[in-house]
Amino acid sequence: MLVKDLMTSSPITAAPTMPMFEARQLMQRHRIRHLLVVDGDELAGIVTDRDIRLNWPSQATSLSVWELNYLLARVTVGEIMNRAVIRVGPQRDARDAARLMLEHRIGALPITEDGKIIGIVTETDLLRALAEMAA
Amino acid sequence: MNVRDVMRRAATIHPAETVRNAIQLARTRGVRHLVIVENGKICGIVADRDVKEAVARAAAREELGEPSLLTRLPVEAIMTRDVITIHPAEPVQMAARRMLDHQISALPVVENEQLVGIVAESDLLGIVAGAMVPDRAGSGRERLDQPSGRL
Repeated sequence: MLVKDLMTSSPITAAPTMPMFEARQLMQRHRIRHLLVVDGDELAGIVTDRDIRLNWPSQATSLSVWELNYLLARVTVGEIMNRAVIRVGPQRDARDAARLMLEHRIGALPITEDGKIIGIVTETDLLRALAEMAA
Repeated sequence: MNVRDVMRRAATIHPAETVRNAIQLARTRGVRHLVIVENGKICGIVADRDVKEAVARAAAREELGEPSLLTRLPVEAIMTRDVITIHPAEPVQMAARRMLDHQISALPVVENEQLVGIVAESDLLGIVAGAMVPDRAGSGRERLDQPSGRL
């Protein structure tokens, strides 16, 4: 089984300039935990729901609402994204994808072809593949 | 291949233990889920995410000058009480299906009302990684670096 058979094609992406609060809304709306960051045609990074949680201002902040909103609008996904993204080609075996996720403790792999993003494979996709295998 | 073939020993903790001790236990055991057990019965489960949220809330209170709850907050205050479990004789495919349906990443394995193990999403990914072949139960574990058939 190849990753192209499991991947989500045309994944949701964001520009590095997108404010963090907008990225959070986007991820909640699409119920995704990984957001690919794309600069032009190039994959620039990946942002997870965890990254957003970690960078979200503490509930105990001493900032005023105005300052807080200003800050949330100013922090962009480009500033909080992971730049070292492991990517694979569409023809890679699904087993390699699972192994890469386990080895690097990541939950998603962007699928690229000729430098362009064509999809994403997540842990959930691999779990679904297993669930659908003949017993 | 059945759940019994991939499950591991579950890390367990008493509901009255503190969240702080739960964090310590999860770290030493290198696990992301703790099964809460009292008198041999499962009464809950906590995931690392539940713990992180509890810690964040406690930290926020501390920043505001309120006393931290973390040293005395019991795990039963943050645990999930509706525990989704699986039987060891169920196929691994069923374990994957149950995790997907309930959007969870671990299932305590229960036989005759006794906790006998736990199976996590990463254990199932290990099967997909080709460490084992799911359609040949009992055939043993295949090494990753040895040639084997496609999934």
